[in-house]
Amino acid sequence: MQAYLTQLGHIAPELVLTLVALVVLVMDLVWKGRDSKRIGYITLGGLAVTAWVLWNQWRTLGDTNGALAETAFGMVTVDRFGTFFKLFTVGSLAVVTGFVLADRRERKHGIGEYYFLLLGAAIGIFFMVSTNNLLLLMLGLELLSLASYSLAGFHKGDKRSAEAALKYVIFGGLSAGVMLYGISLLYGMTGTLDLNAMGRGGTQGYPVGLAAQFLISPVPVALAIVLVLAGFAYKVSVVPFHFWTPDVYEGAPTPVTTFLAVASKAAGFAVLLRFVGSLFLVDGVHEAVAAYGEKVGLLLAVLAAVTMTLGNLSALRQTSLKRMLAYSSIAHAGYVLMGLAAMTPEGFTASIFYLAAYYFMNLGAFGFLLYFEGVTGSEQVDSLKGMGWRHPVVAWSMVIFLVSLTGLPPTVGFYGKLLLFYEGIDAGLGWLVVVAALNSVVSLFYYFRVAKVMFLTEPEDAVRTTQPALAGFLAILGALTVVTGVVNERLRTWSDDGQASLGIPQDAARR
Amino acid sequence: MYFDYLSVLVFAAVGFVFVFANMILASILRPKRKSSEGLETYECGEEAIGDAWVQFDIRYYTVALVYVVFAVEIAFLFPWALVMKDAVADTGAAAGSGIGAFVLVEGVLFIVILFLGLAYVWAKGDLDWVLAWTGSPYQPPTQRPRLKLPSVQELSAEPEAAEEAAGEDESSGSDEDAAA
Repeated sequence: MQAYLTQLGHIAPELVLTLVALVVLVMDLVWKGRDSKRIGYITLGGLAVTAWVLWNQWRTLGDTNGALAETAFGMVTVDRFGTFFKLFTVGSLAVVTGFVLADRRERKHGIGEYYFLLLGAAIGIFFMVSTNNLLLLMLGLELLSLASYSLAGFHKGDKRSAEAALKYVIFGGLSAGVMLYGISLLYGMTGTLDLNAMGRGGTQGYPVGLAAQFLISPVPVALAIVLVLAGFAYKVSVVPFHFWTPDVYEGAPTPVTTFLAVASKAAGFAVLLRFVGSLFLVDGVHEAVAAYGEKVGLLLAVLAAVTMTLGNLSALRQTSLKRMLAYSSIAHAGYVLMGLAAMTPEGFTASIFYLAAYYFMNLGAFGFLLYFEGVTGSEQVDSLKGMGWRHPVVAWSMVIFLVSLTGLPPTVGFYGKLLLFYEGIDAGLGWLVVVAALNSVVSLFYYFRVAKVMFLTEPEDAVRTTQPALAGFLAILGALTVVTGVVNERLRTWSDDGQASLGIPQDAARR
Repeated sequence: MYFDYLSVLVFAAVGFVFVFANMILASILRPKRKSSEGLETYECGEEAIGDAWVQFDIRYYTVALVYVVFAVEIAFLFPWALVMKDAVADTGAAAGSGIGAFVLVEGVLFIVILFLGLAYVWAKGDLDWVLAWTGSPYQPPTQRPRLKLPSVQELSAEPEAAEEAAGEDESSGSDEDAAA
């Protein structure tokens, strides 16, 4: 009995979030959907409580070397890696909730289910980032996906929103099936769903593992790994599974797009990092599996190069800011994948740091999009003409986000890219770093076209609408982007702590 | 060792026989009255023959979804009840663990959360089968006039302004990036 309660304590953040989601749903029914603002405030309060619980967990985990020795109910691995991403998920969810509350157009859609579905998606993220068990991972992923599908189609009367939801469901269902097939193959070959046990196999008392399968034939292993990676690649929109991204991002309501592009994508990367780390790199992994990990790293490197190039080249041609940001998020998936392809603990740290930077700058960029959709009623880059002089705070914040997205100092995006490039070269992926650097130059062109249109053209008509609350949000995010770009020792340490709790043997010489 | 799979073979054989035996038995026993409604292909309450562009009834799917929720609930509650029985009797796998109260609370929480779903559907009016129904009485599909869809020429001749009646955002850019 006591043991069960202790284990429940380990998943306290998930429990709190579930409770908040249920309260939001019930209160929406009690108030008959009339008072969506109050429900938004309840959501924000619940997120604050969850963040507090998570922060306590993070500090407690510091005493236990970053990860609990045992897992909760044999499923949930509580470690600093998961808590890191949970904290950022809560943060980005709070910002998205703030966007919905602050935007004057979005408010009429902001009924209780909106917040309930966002919270449901967050619960999915919570479980999927903190498990080594493929079954729970899949469940969390599906919970996130199902909530995202309905969120993408939230503007019921809007044709594009419905189209986005349908495309998302069909692509998502297909990729979930592919991934489940891969997982079932892995399970069939190893007899376990635990990633660590699969990789270690034969050593440390685990009966079978992937290593045993390598003795017979490596083909089923390759098939299973590729199928599972395809499922992840869909979630984080890596080429060639990126087709849904621009259409869904464009059709979905902008706060939902923000959630999909930031929280959902970063969670997908968190799971990918844990999958690759726990299967191929973790302490005590079998030699045959570790050797195979090198090949997977090469595959990821090629995918990274293709993804960033295709994302950036497609973004060049976009006239819609929303589609441009969608392609830019594909390109950024390529950059993050670079740290993963390095297959070193330091590369993982760089990826985690870059994802943290990605939270700041992409939340800001999509917030800017929401602001100007509210002001001009359009998402075209051309409609931003002269807006820099009309809305200086928002426009200058956007310039900061653009500088950060391009990867120029003094922003957090610069430092993140620096880390990625450094670790890439260190892992012997010099060619990939050259490709990434060239891509950054290309991205400079389309990011700064936005700044050019805002500041160097004359305003066309006198639009006088403003959204002060949203502008305040953006200013804070902009300030954070610059501050973390200059003073990032703390964030760097946190990323390193998160990575260290994955159990990858650290290179003593590099510390 | 291949006898391990004998049970699978038996299972497949029984399944095969079960389906066809029932169909043959039914064809012998059932009354043979051939009406136009009776000869229609049945598929989830929708007409299987005719235009795909009919408005179909969404109520059916809402009820089906609610049904699935409770079917899954039952599937979860059976194993839960077995553990509960062990925990109360202090036998089996739960012997000596003293988790009876924990299991009870867990199960009640599960049912309460699912009932919240039912309450939600109820409050939103999705359980009312008869909504505002103003359609014509039933006609077999062969006698029903086919829905006339506008041709491509007619569609392109129409002004595009009607599309944006909702006053939301313009849709554009989806054509440019196909080549990119």
